[in-house]
Amino acid sequence: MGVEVVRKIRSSGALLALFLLFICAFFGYPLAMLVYGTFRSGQPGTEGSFGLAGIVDAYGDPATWETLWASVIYAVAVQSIGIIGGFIFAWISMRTKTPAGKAITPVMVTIFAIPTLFFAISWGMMTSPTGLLTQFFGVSADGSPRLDAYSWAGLIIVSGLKAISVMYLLLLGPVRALNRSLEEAALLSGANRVRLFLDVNIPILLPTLSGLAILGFVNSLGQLDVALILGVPAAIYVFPTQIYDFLATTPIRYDSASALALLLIAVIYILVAIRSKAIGNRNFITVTGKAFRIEKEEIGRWKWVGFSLFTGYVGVALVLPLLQLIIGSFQPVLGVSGFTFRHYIGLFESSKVVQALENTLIMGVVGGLFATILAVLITYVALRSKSRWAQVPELIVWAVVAVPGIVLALAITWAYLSIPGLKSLYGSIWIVLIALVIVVTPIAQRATSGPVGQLGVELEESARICGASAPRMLLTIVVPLIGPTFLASWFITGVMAAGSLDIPILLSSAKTETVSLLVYNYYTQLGNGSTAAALLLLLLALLAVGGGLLMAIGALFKKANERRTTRRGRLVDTATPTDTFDPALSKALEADNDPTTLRRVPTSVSK
Amino acid sequence: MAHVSIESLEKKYSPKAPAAVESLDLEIKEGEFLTLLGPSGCGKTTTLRCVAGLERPTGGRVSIGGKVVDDPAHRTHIAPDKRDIGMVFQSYALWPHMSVASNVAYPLKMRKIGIDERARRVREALDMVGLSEYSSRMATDLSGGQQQRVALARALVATPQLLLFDEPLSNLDARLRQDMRSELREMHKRVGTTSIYVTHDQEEAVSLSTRIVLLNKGAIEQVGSPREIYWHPVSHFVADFVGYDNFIEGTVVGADQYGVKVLLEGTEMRLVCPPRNDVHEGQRVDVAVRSSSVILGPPAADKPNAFEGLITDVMYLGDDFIYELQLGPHKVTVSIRTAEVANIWPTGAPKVGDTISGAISPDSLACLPALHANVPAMA
Repeated sequence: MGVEVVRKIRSSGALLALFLLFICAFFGYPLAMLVYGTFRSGQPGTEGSFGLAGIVDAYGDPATWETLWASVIYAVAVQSIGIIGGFIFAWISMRTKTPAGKAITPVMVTIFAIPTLFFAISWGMMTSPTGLLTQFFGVSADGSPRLDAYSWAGLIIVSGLKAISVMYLLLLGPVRALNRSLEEAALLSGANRVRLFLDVNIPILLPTLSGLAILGFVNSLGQLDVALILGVPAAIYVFPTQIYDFLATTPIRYDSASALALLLIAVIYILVAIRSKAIGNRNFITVTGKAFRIEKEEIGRWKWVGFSLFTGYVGVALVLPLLQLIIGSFQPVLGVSGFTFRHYIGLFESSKVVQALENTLIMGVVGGLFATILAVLITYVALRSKSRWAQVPELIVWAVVAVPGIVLALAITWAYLSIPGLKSLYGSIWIVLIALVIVVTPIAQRATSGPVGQLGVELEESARICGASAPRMLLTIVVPLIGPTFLASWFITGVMAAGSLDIPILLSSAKTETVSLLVYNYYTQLGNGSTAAALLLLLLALLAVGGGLLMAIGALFKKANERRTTRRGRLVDTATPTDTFDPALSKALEADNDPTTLRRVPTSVSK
Repeated sequence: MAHVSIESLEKKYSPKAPAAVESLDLEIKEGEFLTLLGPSGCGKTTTLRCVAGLERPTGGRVSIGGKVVDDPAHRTHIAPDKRDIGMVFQSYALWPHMSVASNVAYPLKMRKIGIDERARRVREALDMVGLSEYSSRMATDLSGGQQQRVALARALVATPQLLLFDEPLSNLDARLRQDMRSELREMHKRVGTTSIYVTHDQEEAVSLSTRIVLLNKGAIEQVGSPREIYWHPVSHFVADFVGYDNFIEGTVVGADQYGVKVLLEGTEMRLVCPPRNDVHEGQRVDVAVRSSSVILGPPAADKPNAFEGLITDVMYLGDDFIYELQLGPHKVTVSIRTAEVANIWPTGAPKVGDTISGAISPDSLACLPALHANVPAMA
């Protein structure tokens, strides 16, 4: 990304056209190939004939429609839990003085960052005959655990607990931006708290809430991990597992899988269209200048209700699963009491594990980096180019946000196996990486578009007027302004790419397995649950180290800045009385070019 | 309608922070239009919000219509929705998801007034602010001035016993502000509801109120009629705030029931100021002068408080000419209406370097206890 590039984009259409072409090929082409695949029999890249066999096969089966119905119920239930829980916690943390209120956001970020795989597997362990929850709830008369995660209830609870953290992070901003004077006006009109909430807060948040509900619903419809680990063993199928089933069991039916995937995408787009038709662009959330107080409220005894809700959530969603995994990883065989380091030692002795760790690191670091660069470029081009076409990439990326990982992996298979030259990519780490970048770019786009979109062109122009060359301007103005956002987005998308299961499960070969995939394989196919637990914990530890490292770097930078600022303040103080040339002053001014001392644009993590 | 009494009101936002309002006493009579005036951070909004119940006082007592609504010492706090108050906010605070009519109807709905009666009163209230044809529009589709009228209608519609205004005009442009000001005056004349109005604009305060309370740093600086505040400020702070723009240091050389004589520092000039019984001979004082109340040129002859000054600068501001005069060590700015200049000096206005005569009517002066080191208004 460079100013030179952007200037050329402005002047000549050629570069913009090239960029557009790349975006269309990278994001759009695989989806088009999915449609192609629906009407074609045989495997991608092999001989086949065109026909409706796939569609007839997929939709002629009544089980498909049952699966669709099941998926909808599942998604609605999960998102109801997510939105209600997320809203309650966002309210507690933003609006009330509740003990430990400050801990809510870090905990939610942690739960959000942990791969879904972790929750599914540890809940599976917790409700096994010797699991923590079974010890608490006991077993029923026939010897099966009273609470079984391998069930509809388990599926919904596990996905719902994770959805709470996602919805919390998405609702934090809107809840904070609620205009308090609207509430005060209602109070003074004689409305009590309940009326106020129903008459003012809920209607005002409705456009936001409904948007998030659709987004979450779409997300749940396409979520593979939990359904695969907890649903399939109990013969519960939802759409993504059904698609996976078509592809993983012989005879492999690519056309039927593609037909199902298309239906899923169609359902998703119809929902989005209905919502935008019904609500349009109404947005009631207004931030006002004065009279806008962010003071938190004393809620008396209610604060203990809030506190116990939060601790309860942390216990069930984070502490218990972690505890179970730790216990499980030390058991000789999962579920059998005893203590051994064997599984951990085994991990480090296995070349497979080392290879997977390496792959996962590449996926996270490179995938997150590419996705963020792409997202920033797309926003920046849309912001600076005067061509109408410059908005198209943004639209294409928005269209991808609705495509589930498993569907995208299938689309990528069609796209890259059908073209002889690209075929060689299949089986390499690049194909997995490409799919991951496509999936997480919309997230990066959401995370960066705010700060990047707000880059006023006058900030850049004034730097040029002040005598900075284009690269210098980029380095001293643009990079410092969007740098923190860039890093935050890189981290989020990197964690998501590293924890993904649905993409590697279809696209990885034996050599390009990721840790998630390996964990899944250990847990299900090899029946070695304890190794899976140990490997998951290792992955978590690495993620925690990565996150901790980033935070430490951030803290160091901040400290260095503060020190520099105070030092410079002193320099300027002593320098002002003299009119003559002062070497110390000129040095201080020169240091002003240091990007790290500029004001930070707040980074937003919302998607 | 109700009277409001505030007794030693105190509000601290946190135990360690300095009080936003410190021991404030105020009696507001029935039907009065009282303005809390002061710069930002003086505690005026905090006081208003305490009366509304949106803020809980940390000390003192507030009662409305003889009923105690806040008394932290006895753990009394009546919720805002139980106080029967109407309030107009600076940001209008109209609910964006409701139409104009439903916004206005909301207080009636909360008071469980029947639907027919409700419709009638909403129509009346909207008629009063001249917006009846907008009743079915969404509230936020209106312009700023219209939105504030809707907010006013909403505050009035339930005929509350007390009306509160939190800088209602400061989001409007100058022209609209004037229109709304006269509308507010009209409204108060008609309904006569006890009103408390918060503003930092002295013109607004003077033109609307029956009484003004000038606040500074959470305490009352002066209470009085608009005339008293405007012409008889008791302190440097008040004089500065209501637009006195020249402060000349001097010493009291005589004080009786007819006036205070002040010898200006570094000159032989004496100015007679209105009587004031809390100054004594020999006391150092500041004489506050409004630049617009100085007379220059021939009309100044034979007037009391005559003086001569050297013109050091002349500025033309369109409607006014600003003359900067040197009186001994003091600089005094005088503003003369452009239309007047030709009347005063038919043969040509004075220029920089000329010495001209002038006079200041004693009534337009204020003799204030000196504020030596920092005189913010000298500039």
